[in-house]
Amino acid sequence: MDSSVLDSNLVDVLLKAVDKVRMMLEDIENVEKIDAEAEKNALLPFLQKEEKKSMGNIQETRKKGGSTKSILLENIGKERLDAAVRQGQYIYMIRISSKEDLLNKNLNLEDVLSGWLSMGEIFASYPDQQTLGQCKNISETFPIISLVYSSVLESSLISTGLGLEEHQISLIESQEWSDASLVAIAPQSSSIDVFTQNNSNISNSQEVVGKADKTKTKDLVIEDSLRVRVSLLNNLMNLAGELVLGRNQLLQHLSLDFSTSPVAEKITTQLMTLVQEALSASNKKDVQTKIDLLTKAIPELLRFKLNDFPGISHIVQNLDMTTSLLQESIMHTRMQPVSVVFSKFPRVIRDLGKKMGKEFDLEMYGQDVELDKSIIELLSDPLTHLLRNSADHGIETPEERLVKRKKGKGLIVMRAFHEGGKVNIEIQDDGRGIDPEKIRAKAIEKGLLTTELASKMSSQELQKLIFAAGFSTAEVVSDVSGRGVGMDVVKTNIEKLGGTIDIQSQVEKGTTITLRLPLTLAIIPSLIISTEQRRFALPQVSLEEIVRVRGQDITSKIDRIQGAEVLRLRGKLLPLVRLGELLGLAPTYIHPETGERLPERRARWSDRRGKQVPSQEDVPNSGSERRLGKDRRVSLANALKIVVLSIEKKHFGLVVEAVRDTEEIVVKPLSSYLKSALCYSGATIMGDGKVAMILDPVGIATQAKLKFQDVAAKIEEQEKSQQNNLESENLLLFNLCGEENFAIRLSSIARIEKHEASEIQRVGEKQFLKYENQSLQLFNLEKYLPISAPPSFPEKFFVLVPKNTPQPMGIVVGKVQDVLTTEIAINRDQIRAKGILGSTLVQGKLTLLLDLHELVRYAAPEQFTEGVLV
Amino acid sequence: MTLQLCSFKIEENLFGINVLLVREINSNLDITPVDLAPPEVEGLLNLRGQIVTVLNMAKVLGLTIKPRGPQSRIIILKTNTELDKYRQEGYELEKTPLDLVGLLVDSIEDMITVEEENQEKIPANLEEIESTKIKSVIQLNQGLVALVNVEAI
Repeated sequence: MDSSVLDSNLVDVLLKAVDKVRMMLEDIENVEKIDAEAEKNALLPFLQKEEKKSMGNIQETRKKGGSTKSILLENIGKERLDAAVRQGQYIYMIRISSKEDLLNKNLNLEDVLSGWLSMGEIFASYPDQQTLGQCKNISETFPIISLVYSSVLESSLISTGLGLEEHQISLIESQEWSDASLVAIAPQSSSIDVFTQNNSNISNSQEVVGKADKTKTKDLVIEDSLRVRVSLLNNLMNLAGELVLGRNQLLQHLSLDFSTSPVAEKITTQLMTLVQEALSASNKKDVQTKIDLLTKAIPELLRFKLNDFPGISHIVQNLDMTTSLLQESIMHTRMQPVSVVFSKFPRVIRDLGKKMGKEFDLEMYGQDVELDKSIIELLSDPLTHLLRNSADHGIETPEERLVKRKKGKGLIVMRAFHEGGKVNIEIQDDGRGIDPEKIRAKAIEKGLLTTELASKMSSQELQKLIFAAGFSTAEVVSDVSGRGVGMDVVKTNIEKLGGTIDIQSQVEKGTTITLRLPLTLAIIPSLIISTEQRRFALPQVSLEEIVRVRGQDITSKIDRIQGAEVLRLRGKLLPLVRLGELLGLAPTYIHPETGERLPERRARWSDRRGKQVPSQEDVPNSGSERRLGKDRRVSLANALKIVVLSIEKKHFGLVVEAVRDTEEIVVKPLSSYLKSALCYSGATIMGDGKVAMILDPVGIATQAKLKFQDVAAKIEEQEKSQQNNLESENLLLFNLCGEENFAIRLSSIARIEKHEASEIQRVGEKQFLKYENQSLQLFNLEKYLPISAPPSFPEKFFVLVPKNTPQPMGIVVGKVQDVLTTEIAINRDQIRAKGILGSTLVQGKLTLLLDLHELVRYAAPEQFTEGVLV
Repeated sequence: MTLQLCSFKIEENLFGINVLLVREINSNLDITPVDLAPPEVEGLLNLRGQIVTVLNMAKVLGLTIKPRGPQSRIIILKTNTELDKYRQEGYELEKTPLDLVGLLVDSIEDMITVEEENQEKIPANLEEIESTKIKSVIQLNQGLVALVNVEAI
């Protein structure tokens, strides 16, 4: 409808009314108590205005040539008219002049109409009866009233029956509402739609209406959907998981050598006895040799795999595929598009804009990106908060924007997209950005940082401070934001979901906040560890690192403080918890010679049994270990594996027997019987169908009664000393094949890989490597920097993979020399080129310090065309 | 009212559970032990992708624990929510745990049909068994069967 260009005030009123109705629906029992008077009053003027407009439409139609008669007929609908005729009724068109017929005769329209109703039926009228009833001044508003009236009275009687002049009444013949007449007026009138859309009995033979309907239905074609209980889906997921397990077991069995199976053994023995019997019957010697050959051949004949049977492999392959697809589809049933959350943001932004007197454009992309239902549900609050932040702190007032020569309307872009198996959600604004200087000042003022420390922090580090609790740079605390609690909560919430949050901001250009979220919550990456023949899963979220202490270092690195064991790790003291001991398992060890699992008798790892008085029982093998010089403490298998876990900012080490693998596990809740065991957060089913417990770091710390307070003071000290290190940089030193020495900030590199020249695949001039199932484009520094090129491509080389590139890329490096922490004084003038920060002296050698970010942009500009911030 | 019992043995004692409470009987004894769990918890079992908490019935009833043998079985109970369906049909059923629970028993015996009126109170001399875990006993031709009080386990 072209008449319905909504004005903003009306939208406001409508939204408020919708909110009220929603409130009523939510609390339907107390609906009487909800006061909607204000909304009603606000809405009424608009409705009255609209009504007048639609009346105007009819008049307009008449002016354009469509008669009131045809519009009314159309309004009534062909079927109703036909039905009336079939019942022997006549359809009349009646026109009365309100002034002459009613006012002058001192008649009330209502009385007249009710009188008429005793003789027939009023099908339609213009204006309609409701309007007539409400209208106080009919004669002026509507000088002529038209009615379509149906009655059994013949035309000769009708005028007397109704008390009207004959010229006021005309009989309508049935062809008048037949197709032709109705279509004839349709093209002339644009406002006819107003009628047809309001009327459900429209004859579908009309061209115009037909078209309108078609476009309508096109929008309405939604994929059929069903409401399914989540528990049913979970059940399906379980069964699919089990099917996968079954398939794996089947595959394993099919690929077994048949000759080793019990069936084959049975066949062999039976054949053997038969042969033996045959042999004993006849005594010919050559028969025996032949039979001997045969007996030898039998096991060979049975050497096949069930997989090799014709036909089986493709059946199995099919089953394999179907199972995988089934599991995948069932996983997808839990997924919901982010539009579920995004859809409410235009409203949020609108309301905020009104409240703060700012104007925003909200652009949203990637609404069809799907995430697990549980994540979607938990995402709403953090995203709303971030959006409010962007709108309140980020975007300036229109006046301020004009001064800065920005568009008056602020732009907020929300983007959802897949990247590297995770879903990214970006909220980008073109506002004032985050000023690191402001943060610095505020942080010092609030005592979060010392002046000295703050002056050394980079702007990136400073910007990250907004995630700290109680931090706000807003001068004015509004009811929208600025209280300094939000970002901290947002960060914890996102991390709870297994996601990360990052911020990039440029002063006066805007801020981008990126959330990286896992696709699903039900599956978490975890580390599989084992102790005393028990397997456990440890969520990787809390995993910091894995430390291996060699047998001979145990004495020097592990100390005991008041009976508690601690590890000296990079100058810090890390409290240790032995998992086996914590779980009350009897310690065992594997005998290095026999491979048997024997009960452990040492109380501590550093204990040396030789120091004790050796009793006969204590040294069963009469000390053979010692004599052979194989001290168990020194052997490789006996190194201590320590998994360093972090709870918030506290760390502790969990001593385990073996670190097996990383695996994506499905978390299953624990039954109430096991709530008393604090160490576990759930259980999972492993690939082999067995159940393994999921360890809970917090629970372990509680169970082990770790007291972090004691350590807190030490940690604080350590943190201070660490902060002092900030001034120096971690540098990676490397060479190409030439003379030059290069250095790169270690923090800018994601990985260092070793490869051989034979692994390189070439496409045109570009070189690629396979890297984590992706292709990694290689770059040779000599092509971009003014340095000497190596004489030939090295056989073996290293690849540096920089962080934060849209596509993985690798820089070819001849030899990695060293990693060192050093203070550097950069000379920026001696050697200048794109991608080079400057030169410095490292260990007495002139070394070029490379700017990886700039280099990457320079080398692969095509990756950065979309303005991705690095 | 007749009552159908799924009967099982621990040591030489015969016990029964209303068969309507039983989801299935499983001979898969691949149970993962859970350290630090209460003593009656035998461990966790993977039942077609669902995790079942297995309780050792001998421990629950205070009898001597025999090592698992070829006759050992796990009676898996229906969850309380599953039972609501039967309750709507008019059955009066005891409350079972909300999570999937399995009971490890020494062996499974026949189905027994008994009259509900024949239930008797626990004789006082049944002292070795934790009396709270037994609801009633019923005299059969071949001996006594003790009805397990499912709500107490």
